[in-house]
Amino acid sequence: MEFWGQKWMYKLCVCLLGLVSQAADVRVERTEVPGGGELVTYFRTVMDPASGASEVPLVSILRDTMGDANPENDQLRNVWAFTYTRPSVFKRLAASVPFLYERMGRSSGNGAPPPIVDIAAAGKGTIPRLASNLAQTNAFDPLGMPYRATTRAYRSRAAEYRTMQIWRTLDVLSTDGADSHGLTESELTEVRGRVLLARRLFGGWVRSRYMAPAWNRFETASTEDRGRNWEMLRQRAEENRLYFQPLDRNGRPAFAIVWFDRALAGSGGRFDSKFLDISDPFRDPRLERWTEYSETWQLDGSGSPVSPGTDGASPAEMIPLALYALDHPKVPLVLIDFRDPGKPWRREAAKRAADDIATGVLGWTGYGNLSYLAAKTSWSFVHRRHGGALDRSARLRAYVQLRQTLISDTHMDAALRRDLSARLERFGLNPFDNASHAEQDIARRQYQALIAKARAGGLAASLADQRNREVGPLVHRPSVRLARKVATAVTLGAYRHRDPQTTELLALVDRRRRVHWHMRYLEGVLAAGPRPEVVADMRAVRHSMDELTALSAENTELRNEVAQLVSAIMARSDEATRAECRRCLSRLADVR
Amino acid sequence: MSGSWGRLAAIALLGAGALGAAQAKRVVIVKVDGLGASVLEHYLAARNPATGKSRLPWIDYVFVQNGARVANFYVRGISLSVPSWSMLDSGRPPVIRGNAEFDRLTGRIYDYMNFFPFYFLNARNSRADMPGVEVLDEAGIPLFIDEYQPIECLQAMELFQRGVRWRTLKSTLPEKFSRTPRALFDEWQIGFRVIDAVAEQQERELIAALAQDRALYLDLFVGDYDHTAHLTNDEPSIVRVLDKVDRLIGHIWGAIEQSPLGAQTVLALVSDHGMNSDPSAYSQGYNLLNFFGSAAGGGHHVLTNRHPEADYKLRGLDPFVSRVVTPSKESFYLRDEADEYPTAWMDLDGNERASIYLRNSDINAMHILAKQPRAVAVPELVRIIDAHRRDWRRTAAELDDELPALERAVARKRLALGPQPKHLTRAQYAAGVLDGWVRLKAFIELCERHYRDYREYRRWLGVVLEAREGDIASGRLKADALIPKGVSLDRNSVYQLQNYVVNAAGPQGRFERLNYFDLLAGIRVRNNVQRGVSSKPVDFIATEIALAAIAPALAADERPDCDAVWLYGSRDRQALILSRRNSRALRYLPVRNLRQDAAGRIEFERMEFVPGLPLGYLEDGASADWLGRWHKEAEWLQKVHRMRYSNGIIGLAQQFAPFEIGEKGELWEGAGADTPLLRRFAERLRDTTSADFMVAANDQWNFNVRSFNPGGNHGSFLRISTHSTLMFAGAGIPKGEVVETPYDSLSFVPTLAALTGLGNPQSYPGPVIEAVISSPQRRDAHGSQDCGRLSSGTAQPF
Ligand SMILES: [Zn+2]
Ligand SMILES: [Zn+2]
Repeated sequence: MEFWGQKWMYKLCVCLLGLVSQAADVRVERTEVPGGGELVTYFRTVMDPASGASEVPLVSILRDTMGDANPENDQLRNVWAFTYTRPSVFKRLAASVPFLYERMGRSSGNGAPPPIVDIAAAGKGTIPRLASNLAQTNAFDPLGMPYRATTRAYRSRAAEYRTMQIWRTLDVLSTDGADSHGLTESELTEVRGRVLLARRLFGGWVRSRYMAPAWNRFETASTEDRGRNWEMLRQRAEENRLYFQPLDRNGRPAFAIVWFDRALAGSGGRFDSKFLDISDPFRDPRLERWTEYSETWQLDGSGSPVSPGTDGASPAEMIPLALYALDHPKVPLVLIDFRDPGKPWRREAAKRAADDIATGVLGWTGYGNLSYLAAKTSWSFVHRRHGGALDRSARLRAYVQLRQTLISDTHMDAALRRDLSARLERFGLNPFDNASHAEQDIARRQYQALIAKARAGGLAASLADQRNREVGPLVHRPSVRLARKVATAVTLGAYRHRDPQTTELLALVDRRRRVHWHMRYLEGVLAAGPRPEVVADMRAVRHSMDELTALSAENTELRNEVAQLVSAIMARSDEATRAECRRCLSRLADVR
Repeated sequence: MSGSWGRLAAIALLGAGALGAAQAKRVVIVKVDGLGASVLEHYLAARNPATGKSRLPWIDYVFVQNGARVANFYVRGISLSVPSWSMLDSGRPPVIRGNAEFDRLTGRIYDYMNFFPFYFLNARNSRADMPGVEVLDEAGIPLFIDEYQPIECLQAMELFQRGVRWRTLKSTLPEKFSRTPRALFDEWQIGFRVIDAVAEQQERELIAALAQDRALYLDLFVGDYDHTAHLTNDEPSIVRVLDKVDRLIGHIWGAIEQSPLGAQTVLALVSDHGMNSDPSAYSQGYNLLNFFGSAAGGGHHVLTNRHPEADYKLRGLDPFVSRVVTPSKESFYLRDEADEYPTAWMDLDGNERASIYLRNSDINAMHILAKQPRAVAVPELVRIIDAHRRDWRRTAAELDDELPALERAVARKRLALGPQPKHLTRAQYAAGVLDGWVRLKAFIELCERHYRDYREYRRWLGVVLEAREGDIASGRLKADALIPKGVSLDRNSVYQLQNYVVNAAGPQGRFERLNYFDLLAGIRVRNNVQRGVSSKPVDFIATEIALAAIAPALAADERPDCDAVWLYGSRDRQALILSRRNSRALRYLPVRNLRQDAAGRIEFERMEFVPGLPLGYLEDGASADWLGRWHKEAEWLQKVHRMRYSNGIIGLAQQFAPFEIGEKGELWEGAGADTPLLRRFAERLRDTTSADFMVAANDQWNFNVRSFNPGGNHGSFLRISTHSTLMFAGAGIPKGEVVETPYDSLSFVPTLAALTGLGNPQSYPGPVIEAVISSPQRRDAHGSQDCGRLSSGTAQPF
């Protein structure tokens, strides 16, 4: 009778089963690295037609642990995607050729990959990227068409290549079970938010407290997109006498195939292609002589698919018409058109060519040509209202997700997967990109290189640099720090001052991080409502107050801050907590 | 004015003793749209592993530990926002029965959910209130908030909103931008949302008002939960919205505790309906707009209140639009006449139900005949008019009395209106002086519009009633004049819906007809990819049968005292819901093969209770013996509320019940001898918005066409959709109380009245929820037991 409750019980069972099956899909491994850190690495099982299932390392995150087990002084650092390569000279040259929409050559994958983002210093790349933008508009563009077209081609492809890796990283980090071992829930949310914002020019400057909202909003929008597109496609298929088959990814529908009953080929009749974005199958002679992939389904008298052995069912040959991405804004996106395999590619290439002609060849760039900008903006607005797929980054994401699905889905029919993979491989448009099978190899090699580098102490310097940055202001005068920065810049990074990782320095870093951690915790408790004991575990609150009282003993400024925080908690707490607050406050006063 | 009256009445009623310390002076209501009781219970019981507390710690603290929960609180009627909030805000049975309604006789569209025209017109001083409030005012139904002076109220932006808080809107952006540039930058990067800013601003204003003692009625409308749950069934997304609601309760509770009236404040958390959302399945839409537009569905041009979003047209962006016709590509006899003759009307926010208005079948027949060769068609046309002549004459005669009375009322109001008040002081403004003037002006304009519209309808009645066979045959009377544009006219009878004219069948005055009951119940989809979701989008169809038509077919002990509700599941799974309003009793009569003949005679076969009947009470454990007898409404509620369709039988009876117009109404205030005429006209205005039938969706199906709602829906009589939230905490509320006795929407306002001493709790049709009032007060205020009044069926001054 408790209908709703039953559904949730059912869901719970599905979830539990899901975790078990997902455990084989993504595996998390933690590797200690010299210098007081660890690498958290995500592996995914992939299906290789030749060798069967095997594991590929996809993403690693460096965590500075200060060499201990206390999470309060941890700091997350670099995020690496192992399919992200430093391109070869050949690839770089190819990427500079305008209108070359092809995958070119193959990366070697020797050496560790460049990081996608450094969580501790996410804004690091912003100034160089900004400078490069300015150089484009102010230095290269005025030099004339050849310079403008090649530099723009190169830069846009490099940016797109990076975006692809960002989507891939997020895809791995959003897999159910990604939070089961490696990172805590809040760490994972921070990493996801950071990686997500790394797509934006100024995203690195957003403060870390906005990471959770940034990611959550994106996630919610994405689940809304999936649901809406699922519904839209199901309804459109139903109205057009087609068959709708959703495909799950991470336990959620992410793609769908629309099928056609071959018996209806050549039958004519009503067909409305709106949102389906494919040509009329009822008048298509290609379907009458179809020899490519098809399946045999059982249909009942009214044409509904039923399981084999059902009374009155008869077999029907079903031809796939198109595969759609559901995780796409506004409308489902056709990724594979089975009757016209080149169509999605042609369409994408045409969109890019139009952009490249306008900006690279004709030099209609941004605000330099307002009428072009206005025309483009209004065209986009109208086209988007009519359901046009205009967001290149979203299209890229759909493509990346399908690629990941095809290498890792263990439930899909092998023949169908082979067919889809072969079709999708033709979709490569970026010279920096690598083919699917090559990529797995590259990922393994880059992972080995990173591990080797880490074992050799290669990450210790990076860990030390960040610690120095954090406590630099506490141990060196500003003039000294400025002089060192200048020296680093002048020598192009060859000179870099490093304070020795003395016990004193490490203690300073440890103290600073723990203070930060506890303050953030208490601020969170205060923000959650007018009474801490309603929302928080008061033992944890008291522990944080104790820690802060002890940690701030030697720093007057910090002591005052802590006293303020403790007073705020005292003003809102029950009697037991107030006593504890009073004790902390008197300890703080004693030191004074 | 009404405020002080209400207080006097309360004092008289309660006696001096009841106004002790526990009496609530201030009430704060948090209205969370769509927050179902089951989802709330689920997360209240769940523990946050990090803290060991409830997943919703504030709601747990305020209402579960320190307040009272009404564990079985239900929407009465359909589980849709507008009808439900109308009951929660007024305490009266709904005179609004959908999120949008259409006047059959004039084609007027009531779009209750569209805020834009209201804000636009309010800014120009030509509208004071949301359209829902205007309709309640017209029907003489006051809101609970009317017990207070305007200056004592802080009402949020909501469906039944009196006046606009322009301060909120104006200060939203400055507030947002008064943040540090740093915070602004961060929000810009992660995607700034105006809607959040407006919500935050309303929350800030509420908190600020709590710190002073002027406002005595404060409410806050939270639309986020409903919005998100419609779009996605993703659990983390839902939990995040609930977290926000929980924090909101925390902040409000904190502000109440700090406020000067803290000890005299009651905080209520209430929702208008539940949400049929399943984390493991999407809700599937069936597009009835396309169905009615198809040849198989009748080839109707379909009128809706807004653009179907699936069109992705630029026109869909126009926020003011409330009349959209989707032309049928397979129209039979109205090709290229879509704008003039939309023959099927429906509201886009269908959710789990669709109310369908079809043009009267006989008007279709007349229209088809008017396009045929005169020799054959004219006698048939006149025969149809003759069949309606008696009804139309009566209506014409009534309007001949009502319209002049309306004209006189308008003249009187015009006289009372006077010029727009200028140079108001802040105090006058806050006291609602300008609002009052605008409200009266808007009321006059609405009445004038009704007058024009109904005069036009009366003119048409004159034309058809006077139509002579010769005039039509000779062409002196044009066919156009006989068929009015943009209206659907008389409600179709069951006979007409079973034999609905959609096309000519040959030139001999014969017609192609459809049986909409068989047709809709027979819809099947072939793409059924979710386990547990039926391939049948339609659960059942409900319509009313006039008392006069049904009575002869019933035995004496079965006979109701008002129209019956007929539920059609299939040819052999049907039921009649019979009501005796005098004794507030209901009866469920299982039948099959119900049909009506052209003369209006109803026939059906009685049947045993078997599984598969609409509402499925037998399957859920009610015995056939119990089900087969008359029971008081309260007994029904007690018996069935935990079942799958919970209070569906009461809801259906309410949805089709006669409209109850209030005692005091602006329209007939001071009208003297015109009063009965104007009241009858007010009732007519509501009556003509009745749909022909309601289609109820099967579990996990919906009829939304404005947008896709895969996350979840409401609107049905399934318990998951009707089971709503109601909790109290604060002054005079017992701590840790769980009320298991079932109640419905009509109990909220009388309970507020009893808690605050404002208005007379006994004057409302619903019972007070006694158990949420601390015992001394309860003893003094009310002698009756829970539901006592319901079952005794005593006087209702309303
Ligand atoms: Zn609602
Ligand atoms: Zn809703």
